[in-house]
Amino acid sequence: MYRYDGWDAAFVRERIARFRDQVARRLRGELSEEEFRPWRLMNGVYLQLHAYMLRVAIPYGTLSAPQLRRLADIAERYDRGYGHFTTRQNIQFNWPRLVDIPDILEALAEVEMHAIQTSGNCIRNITSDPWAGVAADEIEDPRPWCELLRQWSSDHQEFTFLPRKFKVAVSGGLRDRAAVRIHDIGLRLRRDRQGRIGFEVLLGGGLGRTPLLAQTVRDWIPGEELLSYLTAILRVYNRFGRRDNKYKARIKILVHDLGIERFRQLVDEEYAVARDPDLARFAAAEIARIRPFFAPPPYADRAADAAASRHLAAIDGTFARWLRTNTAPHRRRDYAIVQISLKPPGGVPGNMTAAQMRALADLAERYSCGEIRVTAEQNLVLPHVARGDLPALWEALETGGLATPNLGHLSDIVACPGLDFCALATARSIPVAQAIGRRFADLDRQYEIGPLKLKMSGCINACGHHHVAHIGILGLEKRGRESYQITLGGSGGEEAAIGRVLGPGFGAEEIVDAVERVITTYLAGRRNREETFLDYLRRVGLQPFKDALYASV
Amino acid sequence: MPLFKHGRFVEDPWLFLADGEPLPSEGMIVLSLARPTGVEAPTLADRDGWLGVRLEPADPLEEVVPWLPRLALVALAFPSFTDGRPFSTARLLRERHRFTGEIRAVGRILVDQYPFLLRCGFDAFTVPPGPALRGWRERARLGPVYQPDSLGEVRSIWHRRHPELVSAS
Ligand code: SF4
Repeated sequence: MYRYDGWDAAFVRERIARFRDQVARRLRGELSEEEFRPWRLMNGVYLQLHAYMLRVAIPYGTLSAPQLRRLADIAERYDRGYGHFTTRQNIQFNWPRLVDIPDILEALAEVEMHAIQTSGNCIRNITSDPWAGVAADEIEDPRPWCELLRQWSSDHQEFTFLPRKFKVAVSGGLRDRAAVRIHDIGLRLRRDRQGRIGFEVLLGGGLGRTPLLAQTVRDWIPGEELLSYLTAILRVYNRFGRRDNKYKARIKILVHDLGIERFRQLVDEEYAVARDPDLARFAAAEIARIRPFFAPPPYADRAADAAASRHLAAIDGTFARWLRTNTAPHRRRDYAIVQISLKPPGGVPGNMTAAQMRALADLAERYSCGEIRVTAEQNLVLPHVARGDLPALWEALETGGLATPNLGHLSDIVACPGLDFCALATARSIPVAQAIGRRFADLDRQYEIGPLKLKMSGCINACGHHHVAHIGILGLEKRGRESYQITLGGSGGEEAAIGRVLGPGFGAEEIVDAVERVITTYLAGRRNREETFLDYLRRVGLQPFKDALYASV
Repeated sequence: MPLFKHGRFVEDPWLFLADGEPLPSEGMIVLSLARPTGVEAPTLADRDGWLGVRLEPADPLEEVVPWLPRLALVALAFPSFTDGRPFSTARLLRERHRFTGEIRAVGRILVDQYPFLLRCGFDAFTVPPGPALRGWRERARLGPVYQPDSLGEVRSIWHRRHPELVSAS
């Protein structure tokens, strides 16, 4: 993992000191809310429905055990004993008092964490592949590049007052596990013919009111040129992006209005003159400095007992199904990637109690080289578990309520906080997610249904990524009542697609039944178990679902 | 309007003229972009005395570029402190067009923006009179930063980590 040097630490300390001063001025009334706003947002502080909310960055999704323990301490001391993992590798605390936030930031800084640029119209926390460094299909670990970008984007002199927020994701695998196509800029690591590291650059993705998938703006840029190239893109955006209408201010709208060809031309012109050899030298030197921090941990050779989990699976069906759904192949054959579902039946998606955080931190130390990852699906990952340890780990996870074997299945629901917390929400999402989770709690039924992604958002901002769900639910408000609109056929990552709206929305008391009918339509119509929900939908289109949901009404 | 420059408040020698106001025969004057690019261009080209131009965020930078050798000041207007366009304009003036005169931030800026403005090439700041003045005296300073600026004036964290690259550049 990356470790701060004295400069990184000094930078974060200075940021906290400045924010402490800004908070004090706000409380004394020297700063108006309008003047305070950009600074609180750049430090991850939102003004929510009931209170302030603090969004803490988990840069590129990598956490150490002591860091997770510190999050547990904060949850207990300043929140109500839990934290909420979001879809962008952040964790949110819902009840801190504004006066306490500088102290919380200091507690985070002690374990080399921060809340810098988790909100606001700036370059946000850089996200990445939760399997970075352990995936079998990886070209190179993307995290050194993410760390380079974290530093480069922190308090960037030119790009801190952009027209709108700006999200960057970096993917290092042959398969995209960082959802690069729904980001303002998506970067995919690629080697050229000479084996040099560089990036395919995708531009203009984003969900919200106008969901669009990013398009390739450049097939390959050498790694050390990345910062100059991003400078060119951001400069074009900063100068020419719309500032008159918040809903048209994202870069995707500028790309869409100009067309990708014209945008590429503008960026290329800017890049030709903005290209900065000094920046390239610093980038190369920093990457060389950062890379060793992400060297693989010292794995013990565990080939000898790797079969233990197979043996247990043969006699214990409960373990077998967890093994099947919640583990994935590691780069080493004697190890596995273990996924921790934060979606127990009837639970709040992404919530974790302080006790669970501490338990998982201990398990990470015992079984996963002290490392934990955070995913965009609001789940966690233990990235380096010896196959021989899987039975013991599983038992411990079961005890802690962290072994729900539903990864990638219907009840592995992604949901934003919605009207229970969020000031922008038009409908509740948590209770609906809980109701769906309860309705489909039967695991055998979920396995029968097969791989399925259900995601829901409590308003058009789409923090729950419903546009890229197989079944998406968007909570709206129609004449004073909650109305839930269903979209079908979205997909994130590889083969990304935006879902299509099925028809008029359903009331809060109807939506669970509506999902049920979507599922039964699929089950009745699919050719066989191999035809997944998405395959079936692509074959037959929306009509059978429309018939099932609206014909009888 | 009080003027903050080089870490303190100073007298402002410049006169900002509105678009209708007649040109004084001498003195340091700042005009909107419409004037040097309009019918007064020949008069202004011949005029003695220092000239400055005030740019609104949407003004096309290309139009002021031919005038830069004659300008001692470019004032960049901030209609709102959340409008980040002048940050790019300042960098382009300094780094691309090698403008060495004063770049002044006018309009709505916050002292907390000082480190950002400074690193983009601003070196003068108009501050509304009142309590903000004390804030500028106390808070206008630069902390540690990662990004080198291409003029190499700020010793960034990356500079300090890689001193060997500093002499190379
Ligand atoms: S989608 Fe809307 S309701 Fe949900 S968290 Fe985002 S802004 Fe809030």
